[in-house]
Amino acid sequence: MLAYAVKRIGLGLLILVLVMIAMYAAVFLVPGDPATVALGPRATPELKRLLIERMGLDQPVWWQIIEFFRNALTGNLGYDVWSNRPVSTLVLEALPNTLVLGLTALAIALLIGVPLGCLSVMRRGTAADAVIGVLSVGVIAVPSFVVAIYSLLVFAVTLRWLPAIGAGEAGDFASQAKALVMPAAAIALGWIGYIARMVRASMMEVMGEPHIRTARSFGLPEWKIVSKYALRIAIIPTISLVAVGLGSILSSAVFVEAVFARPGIGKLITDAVNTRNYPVVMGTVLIMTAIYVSITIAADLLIARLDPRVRDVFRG
Amino acid sequence: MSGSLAASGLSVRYETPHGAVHALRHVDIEAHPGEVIGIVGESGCGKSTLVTALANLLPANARVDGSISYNGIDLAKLDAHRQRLLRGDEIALVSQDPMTAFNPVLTIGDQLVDFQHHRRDLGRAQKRARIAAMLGRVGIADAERRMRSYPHELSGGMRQRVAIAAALLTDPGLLIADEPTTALDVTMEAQIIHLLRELRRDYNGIIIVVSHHLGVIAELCDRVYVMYAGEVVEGGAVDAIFHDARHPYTQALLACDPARFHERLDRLPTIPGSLPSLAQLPSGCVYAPRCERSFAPCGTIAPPLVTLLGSHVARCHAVTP
Repeated sequence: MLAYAVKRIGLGLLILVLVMIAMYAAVFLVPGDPATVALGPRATPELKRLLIERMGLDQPVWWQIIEFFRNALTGNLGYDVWSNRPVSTLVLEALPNTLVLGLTALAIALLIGVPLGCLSVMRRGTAADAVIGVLSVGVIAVPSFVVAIYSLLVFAVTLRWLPAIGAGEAGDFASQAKALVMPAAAIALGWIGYIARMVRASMMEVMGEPHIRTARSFGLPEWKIVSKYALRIAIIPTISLVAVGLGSILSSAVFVEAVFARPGIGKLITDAVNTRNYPVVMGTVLIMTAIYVSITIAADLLIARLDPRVRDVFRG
Repeated sequence: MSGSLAASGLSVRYETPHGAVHALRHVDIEAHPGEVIGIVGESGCGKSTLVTALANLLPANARVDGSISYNGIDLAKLDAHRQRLLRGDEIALVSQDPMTAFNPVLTIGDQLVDFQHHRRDLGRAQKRARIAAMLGRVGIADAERRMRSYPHELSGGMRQRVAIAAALLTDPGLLIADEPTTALDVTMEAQIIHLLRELRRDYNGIIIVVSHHLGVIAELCDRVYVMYAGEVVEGGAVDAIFHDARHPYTQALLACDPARFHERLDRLPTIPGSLPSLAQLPSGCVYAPRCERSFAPCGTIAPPLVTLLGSHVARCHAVTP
């Protein structure tokens, strides 16, 4: 298990390095002078040279990459070209908002999607199963920014129940929670459908296995068979799906944060790309990739924890 | 608590998109406390449908006619909830394949605790103590450690012992062992038969053993029912069936048992032909198309159940009391 974890972490670090190399290569290969794009055509050559130097773009690409990782190891992700604030501070300011948004969305999706999937299986072939099926496919098909805009119209503009923009007052939990409801629901909605479908499909397969018949032959109540004997096995593919999906949840956070003007990683990175603020782009991408890789590793370790057969494969 | 079991006129058909499959027809069997009953027949003869019906585990597309009376209650007429309450309390099933019978992601101890859910009077620690004692009784050493094991960490024979222990933990009045040794190798089979023989000494409920293996039936059972194409064709005391078989199918089945040949044969004997389709049954005797002794009425009239000596019965036109 430990050897497996070490191997996965090593592989994760390699992915980080490869992603950053790709990012630097992209900056190097994109045509046009970033300083001209950022400063406009009427900037003086001195000013342009200054900007190029501050972003380190006068150095060879391989040297830029080595410098980036050397600094990153000491916790220095570079400086915002415009405000001169450390990128690590900017990311740390924006990250909690995005993580809270993503995790709340995921929690909502799991808390509603998993029971819906189970209900579908317990009532298979009935009207309830059909309704859940149609609704699931329906919500999967609706993009999260559409949900964001419509919920904004209904709940913020017409009904005035929830705030339209921002992340709520700092330190005021109630106001932060209120500001979180719509963006999180916008992201979660489609995932509720995904998870319900996924749980139903893998659960149907598990319910046909002989050990379920054993549990039935001992007269265990159906809810217990579904929630303990079948779900423990059926949830495993769902965990893999959710781990991969968290990447897409964080990227849909970019749109949703834009619609609700929520400060977060999504907003940080969009602004940085628009102003050619390369150190901010690089630092943010590094952190997001690290988070994504960690989640994938955590999901695999969780699967090994849930399924003793997988655990033994890693042990051996 | 233990009582007698009697199925009378029991028929089960499965409704499928291609028409009804008549898996079980007018089956009459009975069993009394302390008896071990064998059910024997080739694959597809309805053995599994019969025990599944007795254990109230038939799938939703099954239609049941006739009655299954256990301890004076008609199981076939109980609602789903009452049926569930009987399962794992009064009626326990040891399923066919010990490799897949347990949940792979829960420990043995965890599952066996759950299986005692009818015992609301016991706490978790008491249930675990009962499991440890029962595992010891079925010959599993180091019971405490085995309770923390997952099913895949146990050998096939050990898992079958656990399955038997699980069934016994519920103190059932009716214990059904569906092909308890089929998935095991010969050594394990002998051990499990030995275990079942030991257990029947201090068990006073009914045991039903299903097998296609005549040796298993002969060693374990008091009485045996021979099934063919969803019908009981012959039934009676083990001695009567093995030494005085009257139905041509039973005779042919015994003649094909390799264990009964003393010298080596070049070719093992077989029964020519194959089982009739359970969707379109012949109008007369189900065995007539394969029977050496079939005569005029066999093809058109279904034979009645003829009572011979004692509990010995046979469903054949050629048999006379």
